[in-house]
Amino acid sequence: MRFTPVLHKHLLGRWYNDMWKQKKRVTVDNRKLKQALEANGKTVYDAAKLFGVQWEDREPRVMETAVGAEAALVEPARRPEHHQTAAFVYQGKNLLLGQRQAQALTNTIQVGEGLPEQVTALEGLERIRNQDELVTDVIKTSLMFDATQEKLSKVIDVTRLGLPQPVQYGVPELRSNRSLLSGLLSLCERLAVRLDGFQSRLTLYRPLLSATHVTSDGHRLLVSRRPELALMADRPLPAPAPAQAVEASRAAAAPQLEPVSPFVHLHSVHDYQWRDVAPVSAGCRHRYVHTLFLAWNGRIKKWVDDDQLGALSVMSMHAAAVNMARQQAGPGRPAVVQCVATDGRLFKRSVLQLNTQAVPDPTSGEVSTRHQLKNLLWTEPATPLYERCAYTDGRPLLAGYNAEVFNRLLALYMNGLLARTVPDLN
Amino acid sequence: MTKVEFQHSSIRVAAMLASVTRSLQLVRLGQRALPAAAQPLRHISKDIRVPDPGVGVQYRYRVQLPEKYTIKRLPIQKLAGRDPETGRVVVGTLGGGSKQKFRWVDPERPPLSDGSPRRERVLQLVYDALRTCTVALVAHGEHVRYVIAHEGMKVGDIITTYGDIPRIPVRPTVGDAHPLGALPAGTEVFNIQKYLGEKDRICINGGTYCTVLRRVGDRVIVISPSKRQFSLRQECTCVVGRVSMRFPSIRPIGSAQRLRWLGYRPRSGLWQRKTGRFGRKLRRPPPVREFSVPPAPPPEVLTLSLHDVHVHDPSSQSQLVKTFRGRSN
Repeated sequence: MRFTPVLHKHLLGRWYNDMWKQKKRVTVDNRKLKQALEANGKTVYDAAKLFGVQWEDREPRVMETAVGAEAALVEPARRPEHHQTAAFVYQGKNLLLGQRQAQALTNTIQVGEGLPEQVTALEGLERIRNQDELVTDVIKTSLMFDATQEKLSKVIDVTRLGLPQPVQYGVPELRSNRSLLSGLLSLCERLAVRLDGFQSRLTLYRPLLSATHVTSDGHRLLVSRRPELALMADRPLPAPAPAQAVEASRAAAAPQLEPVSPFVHLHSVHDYQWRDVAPVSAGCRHRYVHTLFLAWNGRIKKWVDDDQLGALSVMSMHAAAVNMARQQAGPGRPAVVQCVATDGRLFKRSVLQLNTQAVPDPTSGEVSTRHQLKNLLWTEPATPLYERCAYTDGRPLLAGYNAEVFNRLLALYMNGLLARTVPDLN
Repeated sequence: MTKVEFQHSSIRVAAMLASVTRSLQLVRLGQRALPAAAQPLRHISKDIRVPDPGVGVQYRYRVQLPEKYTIKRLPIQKLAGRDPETGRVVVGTLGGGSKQKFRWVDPERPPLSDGSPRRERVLQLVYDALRTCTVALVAHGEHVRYVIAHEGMKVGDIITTYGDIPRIPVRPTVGDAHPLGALPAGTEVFNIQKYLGEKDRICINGGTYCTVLRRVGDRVIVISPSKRQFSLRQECTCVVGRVSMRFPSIRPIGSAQRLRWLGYRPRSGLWQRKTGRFGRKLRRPPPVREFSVPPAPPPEVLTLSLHDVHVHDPSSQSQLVKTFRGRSN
């Protein structure tokens, strides 16, 4: 009979295929081949290198680029912000070692507990008419009486683990933070009008702050941050610490993190914008940064505690103060900046006096700035403005209002406004 | 097919036929021809090669490590008892469980590049769901990494790594890393380097430790928790102390549901009579095992085919399917 494909498959085909399954895997063991050849006096060359052959990939390479990923495909040298030297960049993320690391980075020491006497003396000195009523109105309006109601970011209620988590609606945190801060500032401006200082202040929303530093061994540090609000003034703040206290700071030591470097866990990148950016230009009337307001989302930022808020305040104030110091020609009075870090409920005040722009080296740490002047920091723990502000049983409720907090904010606002705190510009 | 490729395939075919013929002859003589590549083949129509479960292969999860070391927690791909290469189930009782993240623990404890001791500060003690030990976040300079924590480690401790072997053994401090040759006999150690320059380690599970027994020339004998003795080079680094236990501990399990959370699927529960192969055996411990050089990688295994066509452009894919439809392998 004829040997057809069907007959082949019927008789030999299956056996043939089974034999292939047995035999198709061939072990290539050249491990001893090279040794054996060289032992016999033969020179062994690599074939690919000898003939200059480049093996091509079997499968055609299909490049799928996501939107925005085209920039990553561009060669580094052709990217607009690419630099040969890497820089350590701080943009507001948590520092691994908290406020101690921020102080070590900015060569700062903390002076006691609480704010300087210059500011604490102003607490309660002046009040707005119906102050408490107005402040509680601002709180309720920004947190409860706002028609913008959106689904808020999910927060797991640990008392209801395993049960369905209720969906939470409310005013978005960004919006409520901003409206609360601008409402409180507008109340402060009433006081400024009464004290005839309204025109000496200017409010900026989300200005860019960027300060560049180069250490003595050539490392670069870039601090870039956008505070939620910046209160600008037409005259600088008076320095809380006198000259002899500043000179005495040489003997004090910034926090020692040895064997860890102050630059630990900071991103070292080659793509960055190396520039000093102040909130306003040098020729502007209100060119002095008075107070920075840093807002953070307390609802979801569970890793932000008092220590990290202190770190954020120190780094932001230092960037603003360095910009101010560089803008004034020649050595003058030390630059002073105030800061309020808030999540809408907690308020943390700080004051920084900049006496030196020196930044320690990553490698030698605190040792490189040991006998230099130190920057001075005054700060206090975060205080709640209220305990609870939410709808309860269908009714708006503000519980645990703390009147002291707004008094303290007013004291910060008044600093530099009242005649006796206005510095001598001559 | 080009001329060169045709010649290659025809050479292969000839080699195949030769070996097939030889196999046929052997079969006729009643012998079985074993293939060159070792793995057994099930004699059914599917071409399935099932590897034996092996030491060093993990069937719970797989992780994609980035190019650069990072302390970010990395997502894992759960394998549920499957072999990572073949995808076939090896262990039937693994699967499910709560989501876990992988922390890239650096097993190496090298001194500084100039040979001087490396001092690192412990920043945090971290819970790792994928390990039975606690993991510590340590930093030196700007470099932060995870290492295996020793028993009694606290935040703020300084751990030092030495690289030299002095003539007189050192008085070891718990948490410090030394080469094996620097330690006196009786020292409890863990995270022992097996081969110089490699990342393989002995004794990294929670609560375990090895003991340095004696020195023999330029080698050091250690005894592991399983009472096996290993001979290692004296330059291999190790860490003094015992591995920390994870807190909270896995045991006691407490309930069947907790086992499910840990990623274990139900077992049959059927009582089976045990034979002589079960149970603890009291045997003479095996001889000292010497670790000198890492084992050579297994040889490359080529899978040949009658219809092996080099596809240089995708358009010929359709031709491939059309020509060889209906054939297996």
